[in-house]
Amino acid sequence: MTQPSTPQRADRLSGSEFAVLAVQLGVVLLLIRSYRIEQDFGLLQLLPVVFVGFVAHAWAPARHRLPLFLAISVAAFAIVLTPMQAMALIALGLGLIGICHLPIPYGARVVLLLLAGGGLAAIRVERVLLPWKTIPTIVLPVLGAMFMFRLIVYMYDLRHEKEPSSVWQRLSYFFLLPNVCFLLFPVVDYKAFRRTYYDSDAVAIYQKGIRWMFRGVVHLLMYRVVYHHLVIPSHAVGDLADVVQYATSFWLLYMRISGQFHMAIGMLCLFGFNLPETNHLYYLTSSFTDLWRRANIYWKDFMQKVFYYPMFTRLKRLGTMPAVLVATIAIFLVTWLLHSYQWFWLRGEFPVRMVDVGFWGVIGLGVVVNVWMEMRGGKRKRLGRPAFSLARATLRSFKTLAMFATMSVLWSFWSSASVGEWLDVLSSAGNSPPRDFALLALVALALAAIGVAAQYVESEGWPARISRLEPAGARGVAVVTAVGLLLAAQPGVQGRLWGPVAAVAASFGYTGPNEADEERETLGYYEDLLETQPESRIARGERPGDWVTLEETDAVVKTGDLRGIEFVPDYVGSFKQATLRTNRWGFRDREYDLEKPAGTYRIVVLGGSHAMGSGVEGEETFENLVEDRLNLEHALAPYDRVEILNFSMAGFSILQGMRLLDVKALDFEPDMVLCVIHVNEEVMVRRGLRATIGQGRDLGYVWLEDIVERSGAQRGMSVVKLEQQLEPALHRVTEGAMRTIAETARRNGIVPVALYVPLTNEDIERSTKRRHGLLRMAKHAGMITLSVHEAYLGHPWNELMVARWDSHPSPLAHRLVSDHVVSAILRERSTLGIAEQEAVSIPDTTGKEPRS
Amino acid sequence: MSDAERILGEVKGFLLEQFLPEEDPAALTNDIALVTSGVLDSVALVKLVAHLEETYGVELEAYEISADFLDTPAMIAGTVEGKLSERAG
Repeated sequence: MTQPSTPQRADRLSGSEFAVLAVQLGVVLLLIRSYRIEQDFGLLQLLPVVFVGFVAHAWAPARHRLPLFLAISVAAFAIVLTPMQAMALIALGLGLIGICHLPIPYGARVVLLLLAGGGLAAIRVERVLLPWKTIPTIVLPVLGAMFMFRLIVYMYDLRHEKEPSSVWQRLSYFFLLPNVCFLLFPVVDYKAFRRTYYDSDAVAIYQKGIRWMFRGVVHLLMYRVVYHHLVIPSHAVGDLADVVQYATSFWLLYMRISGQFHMAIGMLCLFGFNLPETNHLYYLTSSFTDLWRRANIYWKDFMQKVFYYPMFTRLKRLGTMPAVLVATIAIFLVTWLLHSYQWFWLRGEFPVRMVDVGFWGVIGLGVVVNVWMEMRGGKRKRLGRPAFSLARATLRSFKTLAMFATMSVLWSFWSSASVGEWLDVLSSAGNSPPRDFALLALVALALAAIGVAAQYVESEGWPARISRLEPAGARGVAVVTAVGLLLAAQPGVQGRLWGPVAAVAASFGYTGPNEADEERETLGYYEDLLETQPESRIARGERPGDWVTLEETDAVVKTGDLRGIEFVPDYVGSFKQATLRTNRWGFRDREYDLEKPAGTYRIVVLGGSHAMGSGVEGEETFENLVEDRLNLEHALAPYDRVEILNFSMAGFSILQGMRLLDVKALDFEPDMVLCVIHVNEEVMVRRGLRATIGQGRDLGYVWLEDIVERSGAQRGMSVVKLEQQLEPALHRVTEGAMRTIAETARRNGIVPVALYVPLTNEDIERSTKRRHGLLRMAKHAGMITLSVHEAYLGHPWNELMVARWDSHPSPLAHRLVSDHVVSAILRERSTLGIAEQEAVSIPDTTGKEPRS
Repeated sequence: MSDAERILGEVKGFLLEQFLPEEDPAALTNDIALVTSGVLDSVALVKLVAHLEETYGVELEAYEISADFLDTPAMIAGTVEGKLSERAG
């Protein structure tokens, strides 16, 4: 097929048409900005480039548009990456394209490309070390995203190219503007890329691009709703309803991929590339072949063109049916391998997992069976809209429901860590009574009835009639939706919405992790892969190799009790690039005598990594800062001195704190035991308890052994099964640990205090409920409660985190917490039972007023 | 009737019989898009190719199994005709 080297239908753009398009694009970009859509991928940085680029490109003479698009893309690379990284990316890319056009035989060029790919792979996994550290970790993933599949398509088409294309077309095909943000990118076909360039009216192409970008926004917002409201961690799955929610939510998370694909291809339409749809109503597929044709359509086209048809033509001497079946099986094998290949370029690893084999195996088998049936019985098609048939519509509805359920189950399988864990989660459905299964069947019947009604409506041509209202009607709906979404982004508006609607609107704008992801459980193939985006890549690229967990250092030794580990006394070493020094008693703090000096008020701190001070020097921890300031100001007079002994250890929760108090901290005769808790306290309790049971360590408390026994959790169970068994008992375990600490303390004349400290990346509005729950629990257990949850207000996350790849508190964050803790202690002095004296004013050393 | 018309008629007959049995033959015009509109999917295309190769003794390359060559009845007939001419020429 031929295509114009310069656009033929590109100049039909009047001022008014342009104004309408620019306003619509502005609204879509504003939406993206308001909801910070995919901001971690650098999309917000790309927005001005897209808008200015679109304006300049639309008004540029047709013959200059391809070079201009290339220039805009290069500018975007330099903005999202750095100019040096962009230059490296372009140089490497030009090298690969150059090999494709060397004046040597085709086969030799392929061999050279394979050698070049092998060399880049060696750099990617750092077998070959370069002086520029960001090449393997930042530049190569982007280069991989641009070339790993498109180079295959390009070489295939180059072999059959009848009419050579311009150098601008060739370069534009690889250096696609949105690719720098979206590393998971649809496999754009080279021939389609050339053929569709301004193959229609320019206004219509631009309008389609804006519509698809808007559709992408909607998909990505819906994804956030699913992510924050439907996804549940595997350990929380307890019955049939949970299993349905668990499995369904995984499949619905695919909206993120379709959203990104719509956004990316929509952006390309703004520059005249009239590419086809990437995903089409994939949740309504009625068979495996239907799914294969509707979800990630570009991948299906790529597989067919480069692997399926060539394989079929080679095998057809075996007969049409065997050739088709073997070629179909082969493309699923190739699909599996290429997903690992894609993972390699984006993440630097080549995973071979049983769940991948199982996932692609089941889908492949389903498609093979469907293909076999279609080959044997044929598939009746209609050129126009088929007449409504109740029987056919009913069958299609049930097939669609079955397909949705199958894909939900399969997707949850693909996203699970192992087959065993996945089976443990699904077996929870067995905990439900038959009534629940009957209810599920009724819901399925109701959905099938809705499906039948929808097909009747479609057969009557109502959607077609509505679509005839285009452009005014559809555009009107889009405008109303867009304005509604823009309004919903305003906090003032959200506050006036009805509860559930406000919750949904709030989740549209929330970009942080959900509860399950905080535990790193729900990341499936694509979710994990999407982590390799600019911000994460930068962080990953900068993270030093010695940035390990405490357990991986020689600063700790194992114990056989709840704690699991304890510090080696008098240890001096490095942990997360800060000095880690333990005292003679084996805790990370200054030296103290076992016997409390006369006139001293002594506090012991029990907490996890935040209180221990992961990544900061010992003198920078909030505990030492509080001690210094209280002593400097003699704030607890009539006590001569305050000593705060920090027994905290990375990975510890209140559960290990309870044990630590009994075996070590009590010996130091404290006046107060300060338990530092945070929003994920119960997560840490669950992990600690699961590890103790799993490793067969001694639980050490009769009440705890009793709870564990009744929960059914046993050594030898999988991680998920253990956590599922423990989940219903978690509140009792956490409260039991708090109560035990409180009782032990009271028995020894010690004041038990629970201190809530926020995480550096915590959204304290969203965590309010969990915070209140924890503090209420502590109070109920007999502890005095303090909270410094507002300590970080007004400070951006990046200032509070110890490193971009580690959210533990920075020295500044520790100073902020220490200010608030000092204030809280003085404010609650009488409640805490510390002998009174006149109020003392403590100056703020951070130079910033804490907001409240 | 010319060779081209005969091939076109035969191809349309095959399409109607195999994939569009309930369709009005008049609706299958020479220029109606079949691949790009989704009427012919990959399975239908390989069946069509197998039929063309068997009926006309031609051989289609893998890259020719695409909308670029087989999108409409006229394009299908044209591709076959081209192959026959190549062989004769």
